[in-house]
Amino acid sequence: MVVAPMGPSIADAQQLMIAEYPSMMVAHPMGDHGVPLGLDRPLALLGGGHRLAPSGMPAALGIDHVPGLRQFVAEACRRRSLSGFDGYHQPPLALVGQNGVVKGFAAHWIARNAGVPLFRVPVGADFRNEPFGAQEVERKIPLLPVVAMASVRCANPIIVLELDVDKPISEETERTLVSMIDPRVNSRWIDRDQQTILDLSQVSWVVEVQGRRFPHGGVRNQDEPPVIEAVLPPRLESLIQASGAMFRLEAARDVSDLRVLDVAIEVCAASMVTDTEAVADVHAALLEVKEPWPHHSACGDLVRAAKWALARHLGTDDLP
Amino acid sequence: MRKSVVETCAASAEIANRETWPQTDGIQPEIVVRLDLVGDVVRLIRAIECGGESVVEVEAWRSSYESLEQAADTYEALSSREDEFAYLSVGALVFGPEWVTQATTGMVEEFIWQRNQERERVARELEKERVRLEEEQEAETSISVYFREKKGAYLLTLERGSNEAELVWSISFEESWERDRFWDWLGWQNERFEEFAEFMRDGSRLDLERRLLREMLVTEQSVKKQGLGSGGRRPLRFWRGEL
Repeated sequence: MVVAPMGPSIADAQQLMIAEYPSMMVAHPMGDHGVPLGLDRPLALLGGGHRLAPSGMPAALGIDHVPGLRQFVAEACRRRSLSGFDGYHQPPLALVGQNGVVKGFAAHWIARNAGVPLFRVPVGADFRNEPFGAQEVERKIPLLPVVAMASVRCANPIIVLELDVDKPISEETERTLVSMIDPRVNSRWIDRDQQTILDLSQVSWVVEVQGRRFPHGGVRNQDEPPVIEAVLPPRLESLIQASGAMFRLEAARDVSDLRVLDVAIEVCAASMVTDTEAVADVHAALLEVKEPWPHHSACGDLVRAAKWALARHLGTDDLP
Repeated sequence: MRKSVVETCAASAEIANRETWPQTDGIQPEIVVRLDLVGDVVRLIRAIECGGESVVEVEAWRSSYESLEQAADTYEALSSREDEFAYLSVGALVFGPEWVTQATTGMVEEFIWQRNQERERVARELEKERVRLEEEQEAETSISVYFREKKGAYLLTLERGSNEAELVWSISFEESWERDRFWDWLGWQNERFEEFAEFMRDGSRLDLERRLLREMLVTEQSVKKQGLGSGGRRPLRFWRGEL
């Protein structure tokens, strides 16, 4: 087994990490190559602790406008507490909907409240788990989720896989995704190119599927092309239905008040601003945001407006 | 008193140390926001429930009222807005209870106004229904005159009610003009039909016939004396009931 040389400073950091957080080994080499990206050393399990208690993350504000999501998170926390593991983990979650509903926002809320890093991974044609070629000198960069785990030295990040209905994925890509997400097999996921067995069972997978609505930012009219509904690839869908949860998000009118309030709370909380006046200010500013579609403003616009309003409230110059 | 997010978080952390998940598997936590009314106090509660029991409860808003009636009104007004519980409870935790009080005042007022409107509408409808029933009742009990023909004879009948009318009295004539002559007089006696019916309870049909015909003849004579008779076969043709 070839082990990459390790400098003293890295080792120190490693020791500190292991001392401070619960940690686990996620990689085991299979062939002649060494484990890539320093994954042969333990990675931390972040989040968890008091956040998993019923009055921690499951009771946190900011997500009430997505029906059922809080329940999903509460159940995830409960299972995690009972499992004896530390660190946050949730079953696979699919967030499906048009652009401008709250898919990205919901994932951010989970990550911030769980205390784990979040990575967005666009799923493209090159997302494939293939064995190395005939010429052994040519190697591939490990898949992005693996790189992500190594980059923050965390065994349980939230990884958001971005799918788009405009760009259907190949069967090979879908198979790769399923093998990474499936909780029955992903604790022994084999990176074929790197010849390494990786434990991906602690990663909280979120699959985001983006639908499409035309025209962007325009008012609805008769000539508007039809909406492209967001759908999960079939194999991925059956897997997530069986082992996790799928949420079809819509910009419903009856929760639009709550949505605005939740965005204000979350943006303030993410900036560590917790006084009532700031939230009230941001909330008031958001109520002024024009709605490009009937009863619905894109969540991204709301968040941007909230950040502006917060910066204005704080009087800081570095407006986002 | 305003409760900031920090305080809320601190409160949550305190509960976190106390509360734990129930140790039974297979019970999914449920998130509920509910409204309750105890005496004159209305409360909005956010709770996580497991198997029907609250694991964590946070009182998002509480308001007490001067009278039980006021509290009941508020409770009823807010109960009809269940889909806004989440919004109100989040607002209460962030902006403080005054915010909810402010937001709900309008709702309660609107609810009371609507309830009054509704009550008025119901009262109006009941009144309408009452009048209709009364009219129906009246139609069922009032006596009317009917022109009938039976085996070549011309009949005038007094009948009570409209459907399945009850025959009170009848008189038969050989010629239609005879009947019309009698009708010229009887038509103006409708105020007395009940009196005739009363008479029929003990007396016979013929007795009443005699009495009425006599009255008619007397009237005809007196009208003629006054010079108002029209003469011919129907002397009371232009008579309009005056005496």
